[in-house]
Amino acid sequence: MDDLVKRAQRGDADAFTGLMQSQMQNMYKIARAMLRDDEDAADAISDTILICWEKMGQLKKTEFFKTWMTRILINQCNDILRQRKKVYPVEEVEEVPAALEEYDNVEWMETMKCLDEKYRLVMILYYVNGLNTEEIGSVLHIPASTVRTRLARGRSQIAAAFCGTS
Amino acid sequence: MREKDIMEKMQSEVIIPDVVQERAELAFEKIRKKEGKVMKMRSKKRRWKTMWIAVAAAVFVLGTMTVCAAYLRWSRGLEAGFDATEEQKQLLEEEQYTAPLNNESSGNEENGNDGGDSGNSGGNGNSVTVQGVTIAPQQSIVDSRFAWLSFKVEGYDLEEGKEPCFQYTTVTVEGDEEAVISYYGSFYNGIHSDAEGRPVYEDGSPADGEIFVNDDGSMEYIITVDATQYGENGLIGKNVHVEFTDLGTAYKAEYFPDLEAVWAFDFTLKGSDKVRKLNLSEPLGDSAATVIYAEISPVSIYVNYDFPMREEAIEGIGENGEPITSTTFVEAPSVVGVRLKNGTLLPYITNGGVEGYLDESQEVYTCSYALDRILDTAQVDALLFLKNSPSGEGGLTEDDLYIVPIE
Repeated sequence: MDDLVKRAQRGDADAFTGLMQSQMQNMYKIARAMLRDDEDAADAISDTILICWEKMGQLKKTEFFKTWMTRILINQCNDILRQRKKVYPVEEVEEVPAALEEYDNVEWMETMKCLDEKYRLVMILYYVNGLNTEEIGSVLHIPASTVRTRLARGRSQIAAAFCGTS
Repeated sequence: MREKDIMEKMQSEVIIPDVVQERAELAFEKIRKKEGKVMKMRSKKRRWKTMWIAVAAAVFVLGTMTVCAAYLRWSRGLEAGFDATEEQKQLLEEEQYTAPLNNESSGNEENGNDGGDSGNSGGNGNSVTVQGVTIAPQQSIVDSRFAWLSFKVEGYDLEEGKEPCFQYTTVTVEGDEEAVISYYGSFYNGIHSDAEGRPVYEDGSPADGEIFVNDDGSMEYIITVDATQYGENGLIGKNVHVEFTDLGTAYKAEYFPDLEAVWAFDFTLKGSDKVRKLNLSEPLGDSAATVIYAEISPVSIYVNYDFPMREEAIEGIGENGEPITSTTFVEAPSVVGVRLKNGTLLPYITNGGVEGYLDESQEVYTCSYALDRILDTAQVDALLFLKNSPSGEGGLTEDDLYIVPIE
Protein backbone atom coordinates (compact mmCIF):
# COMPACT_ATOMS: atom_id res chain seq x y z
CA MET A 1 0.00 0.00 0.00
CA ASP A 2 2.88 2.33 0.72
CA ASP A 3 3.93 2.23 -2.93
CA LEU A 4 0.39 3.01 -4.08
CA VAL A 5 0.21 5.98 -1.73
CA LYS A 6 3.51 7.38 -3.02
CA ARG A 7 2.46 6.94 -6.63
CA ALA A 8 -0.94 8.47 -5.91
CA GLN A 9 0.78 11.47 -4.34
CA ARG A 10 2.65 11.91 -7.62
CA GLY A 11 -0.65 12.20 -9.43
CA ASP A 12 -0.99 8.61 -10.65
CA ALA A 13 -4.75 8.23 -10.97
CA ASP A 14 -4.54 4.48 -11.53
CA ALA A 15 -2.53 4.01 -8.35
CA PHE A 16 -5.01 6.19 -6.47
CA THR A 17 -7.92 4.15 -7.80
CA GLY A 18 -6.25 0.91 -6.73
CA LEU A 19 -5.48 2.41 -3.34
CA MET A 20 -9.04 3.50 -2.66
CA GLN A 21 -10.50 0.25 -4.02
CA SER A 22 -8.31 -1.60 -1.53
CA GLN A 23 -9.94 0.42 1.25
CA MET A 24 -13.51 -0.02 0.05
CA GLN A 25 -14.42 -2.68 2.65
CA ASN A 26 -13.14 -0.47 5.45
CA MET A 27 -14.85 2.63 4.11
CA TYR A 28 -18.17 0.88 3.56
CA LYS A 29 -18.22 -0.62 7.05
CA ILE A 30 -17.48 2.75 8.66
CA ALA A 31 -19.97 4.66 6.54
CA ARG A 32 -22.65 2.04 6.99
CA ALA A 33 -22.14 2.01 10.74
CA MET A 34 -22.63 5.77 10.91
CA LEU A 35 -25.25 6.33 8.25
CA ARG A 36 -27.38 3.17 8.17
CA ASP A 37 -28.32 3.72 4.53
CA ASP A 38 -26.46 2.55 1.43
CA GLU A 39 -27.37 5.72 -0.52
CA ASP A 40 -25.85 7.98 2.11
CA ALA A 41 -22.87 5.66 2.47
CA ALA A 42 -22.34 5.88 -1.30
CA ASP A 43 -22.36 9.68 -1.12
CA ALA A 44 -19.94 9.76 1.80
CA ILE A 45 -17.53 7.35 0.14
CA SER A 46 -17.54 9.07 -3.24
CA ASP A 47 -17.00 12.46 -1.57
CA THR A 48 -14.16 10.96 0.45
CA ILE A 49 -12.53 9.65 -2.71
CA LEU A 50 -12.63 13.10 -4.33
CA ILE A 51 -11.35 14.89 -1.25
CA CYS A 52 -8.52 12.40 -0.75
CA TRP A 53 -7.44 12.91 -4.36
CA GLU A 54 -7.55 16.67 -3.96
CA LYS A 55 -5.59 16.60 -0.72
CA MET A 56 -3.12 13.80 -1.44
CA GLY A 57 -0.32 16.27 -1.74
CA GLN A 58 -0.90 17.38 1.83
CA LEU A 59 -0.34 13.88 3.21
CA LYS A 60 3.28 14.03 4.16
CA LYS A 61 3.84 10.56 5.55
CA THR A 62 2.49 7.58 3.67
CA GLU A 63 2.12 5.55 6.85
CA PHE A 64 -0.55 7.99 8.03
CA PHE A 65 -2.76 7.33 5.01
CA LYS A 66 -5.38 5.06 6.63
CA THR A 67 -5.93 7.31 9.61
CA TRP A 68 -6.03 10.38 7.40
CA MET A 69 -8.52 8.82 5.00
CA THR A 70 -10.65 7.56 7.88
CA ARG A 71 -10.80 11.03 9.39
CA ILE A 72 -12.00 12.47 6.10
CA LEU A 73 -14.65 9.78 5.72
CA ILE A 74 -15.99 10.28 9.24
CA ASN A 75 -16.19 14.04 8.62
CA GLN A 76 -18.17 13.39 5.43
CA CYS A 77 -20.53 11.06 7.28
CA ASN A 78 -21.06 13.67 9.98
CA ASP A 79 -21.76 16.30 7.31
CA ILE A 80 -24.43 14.07 5.79
CA LEU A 81 -25.95 13.40 9.18
CA ARG A 82 -26.10 17.13 9.87
CA GLN A 83 -27.64 17.83 6.50
CA ARG A 84 -30.24 15.16 6.72
CA LYS A 85 -30.74 15.50 10.49
CA LYS A 86 -31.42 11.84 10.70
CA VAL A 87 -30.98 9.91 13.88
CA TYR A 88 -31.24 6.17 13.98
CA PRO A 89 -31.79 5.00 17.50
CA VAL A 90 -30.87 1.37 17.80
CA GLU A 91 -34.41 0.49 18.79
CA GLU A 92 -35.79 1.79 15.49
CA VAL A 93 -33.59 -0.33 13.21
CA GLU A 94 -35.68 -2.81 11.33
CA GLU A 95 -35.01 -6.47 11.53
CA VAL A 96 -33.12 -7.57 8.43
CA PRO A 97 -35.36 -9.92 6.47
CA ALA A 98 -33.55 -12.98 5.19
CA ALA A 99 -35.11 -12.60 1.76
CA LEU A 100 -33.26 -9.37 1.00
CA GLU A 101 -30.81 -9.22 -1.89
CA GLU A 102 -28.20 -8.25 0.68
CA TYR A 103 -28.41 -11.72 2.14
CA ASP A 104 -24.62 -11.99 2.08
CA ASN A 105 -24.32 -9.03 4.45
CA VAL A 106 -26.91 -10.26 6.91
CA GLU A 107 -24.37 -11.61 9.37
CA TRP A 108 -22.43 -8.36 9.30
CA MET A 109 -25.59 -6.32 9.78
CA GLU A 110 -26.62 -8.55 12.67
CA THR A 111 -23.23 -8.02 14.27
CA MET A 112 -23.62 -4.27 13.96
CA LYS A 113 -27.15 -4.37 15.29
CA CYS A 114 -26.07 -5.97 18.52
CA LEU A 115 -23.72 -3.05 19.21
CA ASP A 116 -24.83 0.24 20.69
CA GLU A 117 -24.26 3.08 18.27
CA LYS A 118 -21.45 4.65 20.28
CA TYR A 119 -19.52 1.38 20.43
CA ARG A 120 -19.99 0.48 16.79
CA LEU A 121 -17.56 2.91 15.23
CA VAL A 122 -14.86 2.28 17.83
CA MET A 123 -15.13 -1.46 17.25
CA ILE A 124 -14.87 -1.03 13.49
CA LEU A 125 -11.88 1.28 13.69
CA TYR A 126 -10.13 -1.17 16.00
CA TYR A 127 -10.96 -4.52 14.45
CA VAL A 128 -11.49 -3.58 10.82
CA ASN A 129 -9.18 -0.60 10.26
CA GLY A 130 -6.53 -1.86 12.65
CA LEU A 131 -6.08 1.47 14.43
CA ASN A 132 -4.81 1.44 18.00
CA THR A 133 -6.62 3.16 20.85
CA GLU A 134 -4.51 6.32 20.60
CA GLU A 135 -5.18 6.61 16.89
CA ILE A 136 -8.91 6.00 17.37
CA GLY A 137 -8.96 8.67 20.05
CA SER A 138 -7.33 11.19 17.72
CA VAL A 139 -9.75 10.39 14.90
CA LEU A 140 -12.87 10.60 17.07
CA HIS A 141 -11.58 13.36 19.38
CA ILE A 142 -12.12 11.29 22.50
CA PRO A 143 -9.63 10.16 25.16
CA ALA A 144 -7.88 6.84 24.63
CA SER A 145 -9.32 5.70 27.96
CA THR A 146 -12.82 6.24 26.58
CA VAL A 147 -11.85 4.23 23.53
CA ARG A 148 -10.72 1.35 25.70
CA THR A 149 -13.94 1.47 27.71
CA ARG A 150 -16.09 1.40 24.60
CA LEU A 151 -14.09 -1.47 23.16
CA ALA A 152 -14.58 -3.48 26.31
CA ARG A 153 -18.30 -2.83 26.32
CA GLY A 154 -18.58 -3.52 22.61
CA ARG A 155 -16.89 -6.88 23.05
CA SER A 156 -19.28 -7.69 25.87
CA GLN A 157 -22.27 -6.88 23.72
CA ILE A 158 -21.11 -9.08 20.86
CA ALA A 159 -20.30 -11.92 23.22
CA ALA A 160 -23.68 -11.59 24.91
CA ALA A 161 -25.50 -11.54 21.58
CA PHE A 162 -23.74 -14.53 20.04
CA CYS A 163 -22.81 -16.63 22.99
CA GLY A 164 -25.12 -15.51 25.72
CA THR A 165 -21.98 -14.67 27.75
CA SER A 166 -19.75 -11.62 28.25
CA MET B 1 -16.28 -15.29 23.51
CA ARG B 2 -12.67 -15.22 22.39
CA GLU B 3 -11.00 -12.14 20.95
CA LYS B 4 -10.32 -14.18 17.81
CA ASP B 5 -14.04 -14.85 17.36
CA ILE B 6 -14.87 -11.18 17.75
CA MET B 7 -12.19 -10.27 15.24
CA GLU B 8 -13.57 -12.79 12.74
CA LYS B 9 -17.05 -11.36 13.03
CA MET B 10 -15.86 -7.78 12.65
CA GLN B 11 -13.55 -8.59 9.76
CA SER B 12 -15.98 -10.74 7.82
CA GLU B 13 -16.08 -9.65 4.22
CA VAL B 14 -19.17 -7.80 3.07
CA ILE B 15 -20.60 -7.35 -0.41
CA ILE B 16 -20.18 -3.75 -1.50
CA PRO B 17 -23.63 -2.66 -2.75
CA ASP B 18 -23.94 -1.66 -6.38
CA VAL B 19 -24.94 1.89 -5.51
CA VAL B 20 -21.73 2.35 -3.50
CA GLN B 21 -19.46 0.85 -6.14
CA GLU B 22 -21.14 2.77 -8.95
CA ARG B 23 -20.85 6.10 -7.20
CA ALA B 24 -17.21 5.36 -6.41
CA GLU B 25 -16.59 4.60 -10.08
CA LEU B 26 -18.11 7.96 -11.00
CA ALA B 27 -15.66 9.64 -8.66
CA PHE B 28 -12.71 7.75 -10.17
CA GLU B 29 -13.90 8.71 -13.65
CA LYS B 30 -14.09 12.34 -12.64
CA ILE B 31 -10.55 12.16 -11.34
CA ARG B 32 -9.22 10.56 -14.52
CA LYS B 33 -10.88 13.20 -16.68
CA LYS B 34 -9.38 16.01 -14.64
CA GLU B 35 -6.02 14.28 -14.15
CA GLY B 36 -4.07 16.50 -16.52
CA LYS B 37 -5.14 19.79 -15.00
CA VAL B 38 -5.17 18.59 -11.43
CA MET B 39 -1.72 17.03 -11.70
CA LYS B 40 -0.19 20.20 -13.05
CA MET B 41 -1.42 22.26 -10.16
CA ARG B 42 -1.54 19.90 -7.25
CA SER B 43 1.15 17.29 -7.60
CA LYS B 44 4.02 17.95 -5.27
CA LYS B 45 6.25 15.16 -6.51
CA ARG B 46 6.89 14.56 -10.16
CA ARG B 47 8.83 11.62 -11.49
CA TRP B 48 10.34 11.82 -14.91
CA LYS B 49 10.86 8.94 -17.27
CA THR B 50 12.42 11.02 -20.02
CA MET B 51 14.81 13.94 -19.75
CA TRP B 52 12.41 16.81 -20.09
CA ILE B 53 9.11 17.84 -18.62
CA ALA B 54 7.24 20.62 -20.43
CA VAL B 55 5.96 22.88 -17.70
CA ALA B 56 5.49 26.64 -17.57
CA ALA B 57 8.39 28.35 -15.84
CA ALA B 58 8.41 31.16 -13.30
CA VAL B 59 10.61 34.18 -12.85
CA PHE B 60 11.17 35.91 -9.57
CA VAL B 61 12.61 39.35 -9.20
CA LEU B 62 14.38 40.71 -6.22
CA GLY B 63 16.44 43.21 -8.08
CA THR B 64 15.35 46.69 -7.17
CA MET B 65 14.78 46.61 -3.50
CA THR B 66 17.42 47.59 -1.00
CA VAL B 67 16.85 45.52 2.06
CA CYS B 68 18.40 45.19 5.44
CA ALA B 69 18.36 41.40 5.24
CA ALA B 70 18.52 40.69 8.93
CA TYR B 71 15.18 42.34 9.44
CA LEU B 72 13.15 40.72 6.68
CA ARG B 73 9.57 40.27 7.72
CA TRP B 74 8.87 36.61 7.06
CA SER B 75 5.57 35.48 5.64
CA ARG B 76 3.49 33.48 8.06
CA GLY B 77 3.22 30.50 5.74
CA LEU B 78 6.93 30.25 4.99
CA GLU B 79 7.89 30.70 8.63
CA ALA B 80 5.45 27.98 9.72
CA GLY B 81 6.13 25.74 6.73
CA PHE B 82 9.82 25.66 7.54
CA ASP B 83 9.21 25.79 11.31
CA ALA B 84 11.85 28.50 11.27
CA THR B 85 13.49 29.70 14.46
CA GLU B 86 14.88 33.23 14.68
CA GLU B 87 18.35 31.78 14.31
CA GLN B 88 17.39 29.85 11.19
CA LYS B 89 15.66 32.87 9.66
CA GLN B 90 18.77 34.88 10.24
CA LEU B 91 20.88 32.13 8.65
CA LEU B 92 18.86 32.24 5.44
CA GLU B 93 18.89 36.03 5.38
CA GLU B 94 22.60 36.35 5.96
CA GLU B 95 23.39 33.69 3.36
CA GLN B 96 21.00 35.46 0.95
CA TYR B 97 18.72 32.52 0.33
CA THR B 98 15.73 34.67 1.16
CA ALA B 99 14.68 38.22 0.34
CA PRO B 100 11.53 40.28 -0.24
CA LEU B 101 9.80 39.77 -3.57
CA ASN B 102 9.64 42.85 -5.73
CA ASN B 103 7.34 43.12 -8.69
CA GLU B 104 9.01 44.65 -11.75
CA SER B 105 5.98 44.31 -13.98
CA SER B 106 5.04 47.30 -16.11
CA GLY B 107 1.61 45.74 -16.66
CA ASN B 108 -0.05 48.25 -14.35
CA GLU B 109 0.71 51.14 -16.66
CA GLU B 110 0.05 49.28 -19.89
CA ASN B 111 -3.35 47.91 -18.93
CA GLY B 112 -4.46 50.89 -16.96
CA ASN B 113 -7.74 51.28 -15.17
CA ASP B 114 -9.86 50.25 -18.05
CA GLY B 115 -12.65 48.99 -15.88
CA GLY B 116 -12.34 45.60 -17.52
CA ASP B 117 -12.69 42.35 -15.72
CA SER B 118 -9.15 41.20 -16.27
CA GLY B 119 -5.67 42.53 -16.44
CA ASN B 120 -3.69 44.50 -13.95
CA SER B 121 -5.74 47.55 -13.21
CA GLY B 122 -4.32 48.94 -10.05
CA GLY B 123 -1.84 48.56 -7.26
CA ASN B 124 0.98 50.33 -5.57
CA GLY B 125 3.74 49.25 -7.92
CA ASN B 126 4.50 46.03 -6.10
CA SER B 127 1.01 44.73 -5.52
CA VAL B 128 -1.70 44.27 -8.13
CA THR B 129 -5.38 45.00 -7.54
CA VAL B 130 -8.11 43.66 -9.77
CA GLN B 131 -11.79 43.57 -8.90
CA GLY B 132 -11.03 44.67 -5.38
CA VAL B 133 -8.62 41.80 -4.70
CA THR B 134 -5.03 42.85 -4.06
CA ILE B 135 -2.17 40.41 -4.44
CA ALA B 136 1.17 41.52 -3.08
CA PRO B 137 4.41 39.56 -3.48
CA GLN B 138 5.97 39.05 -0.07
CA GLN B 139 9.04 36.89 0.14
CA SER B 140 11.08 34.33 -1.72
CA ILE B 141 13.44 31.57 -0.63
CA VAL B 142 15.70 30.30 -3.40
CA ASP B 143 18.56 27.86 -3.65
CA SER B 144 20.11 26.25 -6.71
CA ARG B 145 17.28 23.72 -7.15
CA PHE B 146 14.10 25.02 -5.52
CA ALA B 147 12.25 28.28 -5.00
CA TRP B 148 9.41 29.30 -2.74
CA LEU B 149 7.36 32.41 -3.43
CA SER B 150 4.87 33.89 -1.03
CA PHE B 151 2.02 36.25 -1.98
CA LYS B 152 -0.44 38.08 0.24
CA VAL B 153 -4.04 38.09 -1.00
CA GLU B 154 -6.40 40.71 0.38
CA GLY B 155 -9.91 41.81 -0.35
CA TYR B 156 -11.48 38.44 -1.12
CA ASP B 157 -14.44 37.55 1.04
CA LEU B 158 -14.02 33.82 1.53
CA GLU B 159 -17.16 32.02 2.58
CA GLU B 160 -16.69 30.09 5.80
CA GLY B 161 -15.77 26.46 5.32
CA LYS B 162 -14.62 27.00 1.75
CA GLU B 163 -11.15 26.57 0.30
CA PRO B 164 -9.86 29.40 -1.92
CA CYS B 165 -8.36 28.51 -5.26
CA PHE B 166 -7.03 30.21 -8.39
CA GLN B 167 -8.28 28.47 -11.47
CA TYR B 168 -4.84 28.73 -13.03
CA THR B 169 -1.42 29.65 -11.78
CA THR B 170 1.28 29.87 -14.43
CA VAL B 171 4.99 30.37 -13.95
CA THR B 172 7.32 31.12 -16.85
CA VAL B 173 11.12 31.39 -16.77
CA GLU B 174 12.99 33.72 -19.16
CA GLY B 175 9.88 33.80 -21.34
CA ASP B 176 10.29 30.12 -22.17
CA GLU B 177 7.10 28.17 -21.69
CA GLU B 178 9.00 24.94 -22.40
CA ALA B 179 11.46 25.52 -19.56
CA VAL B 180 11.92 22.38 -17.53
CA ILE B 181 10.48 23.20 -14.15
CA SER B 182 7.56 21.92 -12.13
CA TYR B 183 5.63 23.88 -9.57
CA TYR B 184 2.86 23.61 -7.07
CA GLY B 185 0.78 26.41 -5.56
CA SER B 186 -1.80 26.56 -2.82
CA PHE B 187 -3.31 28.85 -0.26
CA TYR B 188 -1.69 28.47 3.13
CA ASN B 189 -4.11 26.63 5.41
CA GLY B 190 -2.51 27.17 8.79
CA ILE B 191 -1.31 23.56 8.98
CA HIS B 192 2.24 22.26 8.90
CA SER B 193 4.03 19.15 10.09
CA ASP B 194 5.63 18.64 13.47
CA ALA B 195 8.89 16.77 14.04
CA GLU B 196 7.02 13.45 13.72
CA GLY B 197 5.38 14.47 10.46
CA ARG B 198 1.93 14.87 12.00
CA PRO B 199 -0.31 17.81 10.96
CA VAL B 200 -0.39 20.58 13.56
CA TYR B 201 -1.32 24.25 13.76
CA GLU B 202 1.34 26.91 14.31
CA ASP B 203 0.89 26.65 18.07
CA GLY B 204 1.65 22.92 17.90
CA SER B 205 -1.88 21.73 18.61
CA PRO B 206 -3.23 18.89 16.43
CA ALA B 207 -4.73 20.25 13.25
CA ASP B 208 -8.32 19.48 12.47
CA GLY B 209 -9.62 21.76 9.77
CA GLU B 210 -7.99 24.27 7.47
CA ILE B 211 -7.70 27.96 8.32
CA PHE B 212 -7.10 30.10 5.25
CA VAL B 213 -7.96 33.58 6.51
CA ASN B 214 -5.61 35.44 8.83
CA ASP B 215 -6.81 37.66 11.67
CA ASP B 216 -6.43 40.70 9.42
CA GLY B 217 -8.65 39.11 6.76
CA SER B 218 -5.82 38.40 4.33
CA MET B 219 -4.78 35.06 2.91
CA GLU B 220 -1.42 33.77 1.72
CA TYR B 221 -0.56 31.89 -1.45
CA ILE B 222 2.70 30.00 -1.73
CA ILE B 223 4.23 28.62 -4.92
CA THR B 224 6.97 25.99 -4.69
CA VAL B 225 9.08 25.55 -7.80
CA ASP B 226 11.29 22.57 -8.51
CA ALA B 227 14.04 23.71 -10.86
CA THR B 228 16.22 20.60 -10.45
CA GLN B 229 16.24 20.00 -14.20
CA TYR B 230 16.38 23.64 -15.27
CA GLY B 231 20.12 23.89 -15.21
CA GLU B 232 23.04 24.98 -13.14
CA ASN B 233 22.03 27.28 -10.30
CA GLY B 234 18.35 26.77 -10.99
CA LEU B 235 16.33 29.98 -11.03
CA ILE B 236 18.88 32.25 -9.37
CA GLY B 237 19.20 35.43 -11.43
CA LYS B 238 16.47 34.34 -13.85
CA ASN B 239 13.50 36.43 -15.01
CA VAL B 240 10.23 34.90 -13.85
CA HIS B 241 6.68 35.76 -14.85
CA VAL B 242 3.82 34.68 -12.57
CA GLU B 243 0.15 34.91 -13.43
CA PHE B 244 -2.89 34.09 -11.34
CA THR B 245 -6.09 33.64 -13.35
CA ASP B 246 -9.56 33.73 -11.84
CA LEU B 247 -10.24 33.30 -8.15
CA GLY B 248 -12.86 31.05 -6.63
CA THR B 249 -13.09 28.03 -4.40
CA ALA B 250 -12.26 24.35 -4.65
CA TYR B 251 -14.20 21.41 -3.30
CA LYS B 252 -13.96 17.71 -4.02
CA ALA B 253 -11.43 18.14 -6.81
CA GLU B 254 -13.62 20.70 -8.56
CA TYR B 255 -13.12 24.43 -9.08
CA PHE B 256 -16.04 26.78 -8.45
CA PRO B 257 -15.56 30.17 -10.14
CA ASP B 258 -16.19 33.50 -8.48
CA LEU B 259 -13.98 36.30 -9.84
CA GLU B 260 -12.74 36.51 -13.41
CA ALA B 261 -9.45 38.36 -13.34
CA VAL B 262 -5.74 38.10 -14.05
CA TRP B 263 -3.00 39.26 -11.70
CA ALA B 264 0.47 39.31 -13.32
CA PHE B 265 3.93 39.79 -11.88
CA ASP B 266 7.51 39.86 -13.10
CA PHE B 267 10.53 39.21 -10.95
CA THR B 268 14.23 38.62 -11.20
CA LEU B 269 15.08 35.98 -8.68
CA LYS B 270 17.87 36.34 -6.17
CA GLY B 271 19.06 33.48 -4.02
CA SER B 272 22.10 31.51 -2.99
CA ASP B 273 23.82 28.62 -4.73
CA LYS B 274 25.83 27.70 -1.65
CA VAL B 275 25.66 23.97 -0.99
CA ARG B 276 27.66 21.43 0.93
CA LYS B 277 29.00 19.04 -1.72
CA LEU B 278 29.79 15.45 -0.86
CA ASN B 279 31.59 12.87 -2.97
CA LEU B 280 30.65 9.45 -1.65
CA SER B 281 30.80 5.77 -2.45
CA GLU B 282 28.36 4.16 -0.04
CA PRO B 283 26.35 1.05 -0.99
CA LEU B 284 22.88 0.92 0.54
CA GLY B 285 22.69 -2.59 1.93
CA ASP B 286 21.44 -5.11 -0.58
CA SER B 287 19.40 -2.58 -2.53
CA ALA B 288 21.91 -2.57 -5.45
CA ALA B 289 22.14 1.23 -5.07
CA THR B 290 25.34 3.08 -4.19
CA VAL B 291 25.24 6.72 -3.15
CA ILE B 292 27.94 8.52 -5.13
CA TYR B 293 27.26 12.23 -4.69
CA ALA B 294 25.14 14.57 -2.61
CA GLU B 295 24.50 18.27 -2.17
CA ILE B 296 22.88 19.73 0.94
CA SER B 297 21.58 23.26 1.14
CA PRO B 298 19.65 24.61 4.15
CA VAL B 299 16.41 23.94 2.26
CA SER B 300 17.00 21.01 -0.09
CA ILE B 301 18.87 17.75 -0.60
CA TYR B 302 20.15 16.34 -3.89
CA VAL B 303 21.58 12.82 -4.19
CA ASN B 304 23.00 10.78 -7.07
CA TYR B 305 23.16 6.99 -6.96
CA ASP B 306 24.86 4.39 -9.09
CA PHE B 307 21.75 2.28 -9.71
CA PRO B 308 21.36 0.64 -13.13
CA MET B 309 17.77 0.61 -14.20
CA ARG B 310 15.59 -2.44 -13.63
CA GLU B 311 11.98 -2.65 -14.68
CA GLU B 312 9.13 -4.01 -12.61
CA ALA B 313 5.48 -4.76 -13.37
CA ILE B 314 2.84 -2.86 -11.45
CA GLU B 315 -0.73 -4.11 -11.13
CA GLY B 316 -3.38 -1.44 -11.41
CA ILE B 317 -6.93 -0.75 -12.47
CA GLY B 318 -7.81 0.55 -15.90
CA GLU B 319 -10.39 3.09 -16.94
CA ASN B 320 -13.16 0.52 -17.06
CA GLY B 321 -12.21 -1.03 -13.76
CA GLU B 322 -10.40 -3.93 -15.37
CA PRO B 323 -7.07 -5.05 -13.94
CA ILE B 324 -4.09 -3.84 -15.95
CA THR B 325 -0.37 -4.29 -15.75
CA SER B 326 2.06 -1.48 -16.44
CA THR B 327 5.85 -1.30 -16.33
CA THR B 328 7.90 1.09 -14.30
CA PHE B 329 11.45 1.17 -12.98
CA VAL B 330 12.52 -0.04 -9.57
CA GLU B 331 13.16 2.88 -7.27
CA ALA B 332 16.32 3.37 -5.31
CA PRO B 333 15.95 3.92 -1.55
CA SER B 334 14.81 7.52 -1.24
CA VAL B 335 16.69 10.05 0.82
CA VAL B 336 14.34 10.96 3.66
CA GLY B 337 16.41 12.97 6.10
CA VAL B 338 19.64 13.54 7.97
CA ARG B 339 21.40 12.81 11.24
CA LEU B 340 22.97 15.68 13.11
CA LYS B 341 26.32 15.66 14.88
CA ASN B 342 24.56 15.58 18.25
CA GLY B 343 22.97 12.26 17.27
CA THR B 344 19.51 13.61 16.48
CA LEU B 345 17.77 11.73 13.70
CA LEU B 346 15.57 13.83 11.41
CA PRO B 347 13.92 11.21 9.19
CA TYR B 348 10.85 13.12 8.02
CA ILE B 349 12.17 16.26 6.45
CA THR B 350 11.73 15.87 2.69
CA ASN B 351 8.79 17.77 1.25
CA GLY B 352 8.27 17.31 -2.46
CA GLY B 353 10.67 16.93 -5.33
CA VAL B 354 11.60 14.49 -8.03
CA GLU B 355 13.44 11.23 -8.36
CA GLY B 356 14.43 9.10 -11.31
CA TYR B 357 17.09 8.78 -14.00
CA LEU B 358 19.02 11.87 -14.92
CA ASP B 359 19.91 10.95 -18.45
CA GLU B 360 19.21 8.42 -21.12
CA SER B 361 21.99 6.09 -20.00
CA GLN B 362 19.74 5.33 -17.02
CA GLU B 363 22.75 4.47 -14.90
CA VAL B 364 22.65 7.41 -12.49
CA TYR B 365 19.55 7.69 -10.32
CA THR B 366 18.75 11.04 -8.72
CA CYS B 367 16.69 12.19 -5.75
CA SER B 368 16.13 15.91 -5.43
CA TYR B 369 13.91 16.99 -2.57
CA ALA B 370 12.92 20.22 -0.90
CA LEU B 371 12.96 20.18 2.88
CA ASP B 372 10.29 21.14 5.37
CA ARG B 373 12.76 22.80 7.70
CA ILE B 374 15.96 24.82 7.62
CA LEU B 375 19.18 22.89 8.15
CA ASP B 376 22.50 24.08 9.40
CA THR B 377 24.36 22.00 6.85
CA ALA B 378 27.57 22.06 8.89
CA GLN B 379 25.78 20.10 11.63
CA VAL B 380 24.79 17.21 9.34
CA ASP B 381 26.95 14.10 9.79
CA ALA B 382 24.89 11.46 7.96
CA LEU B 383 22.20 11.09 5.30
CA LEU B 384 19.20 8.86 5.93
CA PHE B 385 17.68 6.63 3.24
CA LEU B 386 14.48 4.62 3.50
CA LYS B 387 15.01 0.88 3.89
CA ASN B 388 11.60 -0.18 5.21
CA SER B 389 8.33 1.65 5.49
CA PRO B 390 7.23 1.53 9.12
CA SER B 391 4.14 -0.51 9.92
CA GLY B 392 1.30 1.49 11.43
CA GLU B 393 2.12 4.97 12.60
CA GLY B 394 5.03 4.14 14.88
CA GLY B 395 7.44 6.23 12.87
CA LEU B 396 10.79 5.43 11.33
CA THR B 397 13.51 3.93 13.51
CA GLU B 398 17.15 3.27 12.71
CA ASP B 399 16.18 -0.26 11.66
CA ASP B 400 14.07 1.24 8.87
CA LEU B 401 16.93 3.33 7.52
CA TYR B 402 20.20 3.11 5.69
CA ILE B 403 22.46 5.59 7.49
CA VAL B 404 25.28 6.99 5.37
CA PRO B 405 27.92 8.89 7.33
CA ILE B 406 29.32 11.89 5.52
CA GLU B 407 32.17 12.74 7.85
